[in-house]
Amino acid sequence: MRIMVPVKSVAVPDEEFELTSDGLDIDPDFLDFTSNEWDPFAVEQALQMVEAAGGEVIVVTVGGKEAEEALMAALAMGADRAIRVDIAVAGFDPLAAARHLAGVVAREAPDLVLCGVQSSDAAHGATGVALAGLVDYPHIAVVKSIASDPAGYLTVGRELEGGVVQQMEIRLPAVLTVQSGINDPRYANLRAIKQARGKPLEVVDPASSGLEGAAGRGSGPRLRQIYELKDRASAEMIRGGPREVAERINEIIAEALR
Amino acid sequence: MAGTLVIAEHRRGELRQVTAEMLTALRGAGEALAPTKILLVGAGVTALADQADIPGVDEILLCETSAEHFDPWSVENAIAAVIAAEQPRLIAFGHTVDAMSVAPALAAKLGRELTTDVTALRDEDGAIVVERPIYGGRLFAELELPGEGPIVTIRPGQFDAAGASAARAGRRVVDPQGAAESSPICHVEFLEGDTDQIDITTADFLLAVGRGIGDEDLDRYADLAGEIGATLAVSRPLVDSGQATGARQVGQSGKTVKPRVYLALGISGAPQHLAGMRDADCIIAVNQDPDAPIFGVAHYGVVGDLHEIVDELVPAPD
Ligand SMILES: Cc1cc2nc3c(=O)[nH]c(=O)nc-3n(C[C@H](O)[C@H](O)[C@H](O)COP(=O)(O)OP(=O)(O)OC[C@H]3O[C@@H](n4cnc5c(N)ncnc54)[C@H](O)[C@@H]3O)c2cc1C
Repeated sequence: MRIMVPVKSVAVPDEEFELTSDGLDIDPDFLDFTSNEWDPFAVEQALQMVEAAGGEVIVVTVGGKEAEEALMAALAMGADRAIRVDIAVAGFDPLAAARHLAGVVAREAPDLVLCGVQSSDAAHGATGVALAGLVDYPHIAVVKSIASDPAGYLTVGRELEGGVVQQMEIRLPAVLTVQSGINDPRYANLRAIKQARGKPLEVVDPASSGLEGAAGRGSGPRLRQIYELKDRASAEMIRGGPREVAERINEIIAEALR
Repeated sequence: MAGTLVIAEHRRGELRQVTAEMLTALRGAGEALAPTKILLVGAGVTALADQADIPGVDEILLCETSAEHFDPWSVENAIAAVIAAEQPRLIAFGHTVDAMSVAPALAAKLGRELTTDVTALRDEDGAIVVERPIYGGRLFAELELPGEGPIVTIRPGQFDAAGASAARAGRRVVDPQGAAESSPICHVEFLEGDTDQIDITTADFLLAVGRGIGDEDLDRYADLAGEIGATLAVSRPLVDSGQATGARQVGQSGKTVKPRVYLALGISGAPQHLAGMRDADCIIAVNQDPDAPIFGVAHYGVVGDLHEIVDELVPAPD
C-alpha cells in the first residue's frame, strides 16, 4: 500500500510579537516554525499500516525551505521518502495547498492519503478534504480509528461532537483526515534523525515539473485587516503578585458559589 | 446569484443547534444576504421540516436520499446539485465535523472560495466580509470573499440559536443526484462515547487544566481539585496522551459544561474547547500568554504562571 501524508511546518508566534509595518501580518522575526500538532498522528498511522501490509510512506509538503522541518521530522519517524513542492502558499486560502498536493497525487497515485485534521496555525481544517475533491477520491474527515478491511476497503471511526463515533466503510483509494489521539506517535531517536538526512527528499518546482496541480479558479479570500484579540477581550484582568491574584480568585469563586 | 443557501445539519433525527445559530448570523448580516433557503439532505428529512422552520428562513428545500445517516459522498452530490440549480450568492455550513467532510471538497470541485470557522459575517456595500481566527486564535483576520457563491463554515456557539418560528416558510422538494448503489462510503454503526462514572456536567465548580501544566503529573491537580472543593476537568491533549479519561474532557468532542465556576489553568481556548464551556456562569482563566483566546470568553483573567498561583488557592466555602 502506498500512503501519502501531507505535512506542514506551522508558524508559532512568540509570546510577545509585533506586526509588520502594514499591520497585515506578524513580523516574521517573531515566528518560530514547528511540526503541525496533528501530523505525527497521521505519520504514525501510515507507518503502522505499511508495517502491517507492506508498501511505502511518502511525506509531502508545500512551501519554502522552512517547510522541510516537517518533512525531516516525518522521515525520522520512519517515512520512506519526501517531496517538497517549492512554492509559498497564501495563508488565507484554505484551498491553495490542496491544489499543489493534487499534482503530487496525480503523479504518485497513492492508495491512501492521510492528512492531519487541521493545522495548528491557520486551522482551516480543509486541506485534506479539498485535495480529495480535486482528485476525486472518497474522503472522511476527523477519523479516530482505521481498520483494514479486505478487498480495497477500510473501516474507519469518524469522531463526532460529544465523542460519539460513527463507524463507516470507505473504498480505496481515499483521503482521510486523522484526529489527534488516534495512536501514540513514536519518538525519533538520534540515530533515526541522522538517518533521515540520507533519505530521498525531492524538491519540485511546480512550474517546470508538470506538477502544476489543479488549476485554481480563485485567488483566495482577500485580507482587509487583522486585529488582536486583546483589543476585544471581555475579561476583567486581575493584576498583582501571585498571592494577591490568588486571593482575588478565591474571593471571586466564593462569591460566584454563594 | 442571490440569497444564501444554509446547509442544515441533522443527526439521528434531530436538527443540530448550529443550524439555528447560522440563521442568527445571517439575520445580523441584514437584507443583503436574503432570501435564505435552508437545505435538508438525507433519508426522512421531510419529517425535520418543522424543526428547520427557523426565524429568517424563507424557504425549506427537502432533498430525500436513501442515506439514512450522514455520509460525505451522498450529501456532497446533493448539495452540489442544489447549488447549481439555485445559484445562491453565499453558501453557509456550520464549522462542524460533518461540514469538515464536505465543504472543502465542494469548494474545490465547484471552484468556489472557502473560508472556515467564521466568527463574524456581514455585507459591506455588496462585499461579503467575514472574520476568522489566525495563528491559533491569537489574532483575527477580516477577510473579503471574492468570486461567485463562496462557501463559509460558521463557528458553533458563536451566535445564539434563533428561537422557533411562528411563520411557516414554504417547503419545496428537490431532486437528489448520484445513484446510491455506487457510493464508495457507507454507514456501519454509531458507537457511544465514554461511559465513565465521573460526570463533570453536574459539578458547580470545575478546575480545568490544559497542556500548560507542562510535565507535571495530573495527580497534583486532582489533589488540588479535592482540596479546593472542585471537580477536575481537562482539555483534550491530556486525554490524547492518556493522562485523563474522555469523561473529564471539556469541549466539542468531549462534554459541554455550564458550571457556576470554571477555573481554567493553562488552557489556550481553542474553538473546540470553548464550544464546551463558554456558557459557564463565571470563567476565570490563568494563562501566561496575554493573547490566549480563552481571555475572549473569560470573565476574569490572569496573565501569569499558573504554578505560582495554584499553591495559594484555598477551599471554596460550602
Ligand atoms: C475536531 C476537533 C475536536 C476537538 N475537540 C476538542 C475538545 O473537545 N476539547 C478540547 O479541549 N480540545 C479539542 N480539540 C483540540 C483543540 O483544537 C486544541 O488543540 C486543544 O484544546 C488545546 O488544548 P490546551 O489549551 O490544553 O493546549 P494548548 O493549546 O497547547 O495551550 C496551552 C496553554 O497553556 C499556556 N501555558 C503554558 N505554560 C503555562 C504556565 N506555566 N502558566 C500559565 N499558562 C501556561 C500557554 O500559553 C497556552 O495558551 C479538538 C480539535 C479538533 C480538530
